[in-house]
Amino acid sequence: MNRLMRLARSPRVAIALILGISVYTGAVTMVPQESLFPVEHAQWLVSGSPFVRPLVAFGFDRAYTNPVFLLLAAALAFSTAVCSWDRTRTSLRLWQGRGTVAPALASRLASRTPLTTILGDAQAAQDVVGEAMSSLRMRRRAGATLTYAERGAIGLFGSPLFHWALVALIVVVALGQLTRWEGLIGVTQGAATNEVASSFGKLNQGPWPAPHTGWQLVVTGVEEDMERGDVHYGVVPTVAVMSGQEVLAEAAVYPNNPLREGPLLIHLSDYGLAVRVEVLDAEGRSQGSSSRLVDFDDAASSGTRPSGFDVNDAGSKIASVSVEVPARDLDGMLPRLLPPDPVAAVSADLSDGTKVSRRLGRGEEMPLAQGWQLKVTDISYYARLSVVRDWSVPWIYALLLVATAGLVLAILVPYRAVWLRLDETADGVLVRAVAVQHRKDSYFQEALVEALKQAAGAAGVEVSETAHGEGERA
Amino acid sequence: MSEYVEIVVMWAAVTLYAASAVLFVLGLVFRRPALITAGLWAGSIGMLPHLAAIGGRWIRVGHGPYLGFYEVVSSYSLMTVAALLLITKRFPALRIAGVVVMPIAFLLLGGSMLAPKAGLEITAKLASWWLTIHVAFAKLSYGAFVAAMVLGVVYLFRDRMTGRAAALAKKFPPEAEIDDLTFRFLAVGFIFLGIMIAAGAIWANEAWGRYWAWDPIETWSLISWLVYAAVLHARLTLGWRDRRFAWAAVAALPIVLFALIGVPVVYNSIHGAYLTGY
Repeated sequence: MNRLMRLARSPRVAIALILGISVYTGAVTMVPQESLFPVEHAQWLVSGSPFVRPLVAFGFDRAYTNPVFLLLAAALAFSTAVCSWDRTRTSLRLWQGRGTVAPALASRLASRTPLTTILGDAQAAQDVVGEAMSSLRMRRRAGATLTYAERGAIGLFGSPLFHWALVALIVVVALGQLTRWEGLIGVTQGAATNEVASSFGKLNQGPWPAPHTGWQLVVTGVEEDMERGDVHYGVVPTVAVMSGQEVLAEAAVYPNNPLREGPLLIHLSDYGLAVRVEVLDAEGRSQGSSSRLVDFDDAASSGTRPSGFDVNDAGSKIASVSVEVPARDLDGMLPRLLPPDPVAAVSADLSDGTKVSRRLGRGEEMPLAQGWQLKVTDISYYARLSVVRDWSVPWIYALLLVATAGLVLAILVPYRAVWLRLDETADGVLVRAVAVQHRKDSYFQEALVEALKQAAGAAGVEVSETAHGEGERA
Repeated sequence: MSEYVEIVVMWAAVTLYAASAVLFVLGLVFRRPALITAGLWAGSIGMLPHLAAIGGRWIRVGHGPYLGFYEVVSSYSLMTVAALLLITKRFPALRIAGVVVMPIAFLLLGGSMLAPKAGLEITAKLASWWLTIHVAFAKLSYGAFVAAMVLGVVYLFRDRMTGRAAALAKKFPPEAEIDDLTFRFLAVGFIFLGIMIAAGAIWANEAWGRYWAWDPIETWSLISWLVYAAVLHARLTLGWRDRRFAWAAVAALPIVLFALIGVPVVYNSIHGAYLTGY
């Protein structure tokens, strides 16, 4: 255990872990990641490269859930936590000991070679030291023979704050990944879709996903050519989040303008066209209706990718139906808009072996086998919404802010303290110094001597330059 | 400013940067301080048409210099020269750093002039204040890291020169001062890079609904931050100072350069559009 703690405390180990993670993450950017580039990943798998098998075997195509990465990150978090603890203790000790003179410090100060000699009396020396400290912007607490001065004491807590924030950030990110979920859900204009797992076309979730809300998502309107300032947003849906009849939130959803409600963050991922169809049996009774989501496709002759489904009667197939919406304009261009008079191009392979194709407008029907009918009730837009539930995001933002504040404090407000001992002798007042400074500026001692010289010069007091000691680095 | 005028003005900047680079090199080779001063003047004057061209384009296309190779790399060239002027204003003796900086600035700007210059429109995904903050801090961090690298080179030059070159090197500020200044630029760049990454994460969450996706640019930005974290950690805990720290400041810069300019060219990334167009 002691050995583990020693390792965790070691700056060399910390640096090795930081560089280890850098090398690992840099190397795996060369491997197509399954979650980030699914298409490239699939192509890479069949590319015949000799590296595919070993890399996949070791899970480097899922690099950020790979045990190697998780182990490195956990080790870094542990090392940072131990380091934070030590830094906090050191900072508290320095904070509490500010201005006090421990016996060891007093004897060190007494035995130190004088930094300089002020050729004047004790009062003149005190004035010179006071002025010198002011010029270094150090706050002074003067005694008869000992003077203490400090600057940037608050900066003592910068480094602990930064390191604790990093530890918390790693923990919160990890916990967030375990419980977050993110999915794509298609919502037809004018229709409600329940926010439950089964409604999502694609759902990525951690091992312990947070529950779904069960709220309804409704696209209440669509603006076809939204502009804000000079920016064209194109087709923008207005989305409402409802709980029963109550509208919880409603807003136009477009990039950089997601809809937030409770734990949900809703973005527009894409949009397409929706054909609402109803199936009628031989007696004209409705046997169900659904929305067929049709995506725009530049490669398709109609401009949309067909959506297929089966019509069944008690387990026996009536027809296999395919629906698309011709969306090209007269010039053959694809404006990616709902045509002015939309029609659905429906083709069906019937159970009797025949094939039927029709173009149906809103309210029009076509016959299927056994006297059944397919009716197009509406053609409209649909919005493919990306819905995320991730409690960790606001905490991550807050921790980033705390980490930045800590870093700024640690770097821009360095703590400096100096104890000066003044001993009056026949030759003048000897000035001895012990300094504590976090940044360890190598020229702080020179700055101190220079400030004393400047202050003495301003006060008309001479300074002997013959005796120079060393300020101590802490 | 029309595109034609902008290009003419930009070429004026390229020419002045080239002249500046040549003057700096000649000044060093022939040990003529007057040539070095002239090089600094040429670089400073070159910044004026450079700023004017970037400003004019900003007004014309309606957004800052962050879309497309031409805008992005040209603005990094401007930051490089700005970093040199900032250092030389504080420490005039460090003017010699122009020997390193001005050829870099010239190559960056000259290279950007070879790229397409058509203005790219702000798309819906790019219309965010977080993008502005993200880009601003990217450029600031780059400027700070370039300054740290240049100071590292100057330190090593001062440290290693012998004979007649040593006399020239002695005109620079004391090594301890250069070392501390290198640390300050590196530390400030580290803060800026951190803010850039944080702003980018917030923007990504607003635009795409996820704050981090291990996209190659995100990953390499994180790697840059981690490498600089390691360098700072080494200084503050292991006492890496002087020569070793100077080498680290020099060696870390290519990583950040690769993250900012190289990654969009090498990798297929949704992020890469800012440099390679969309």
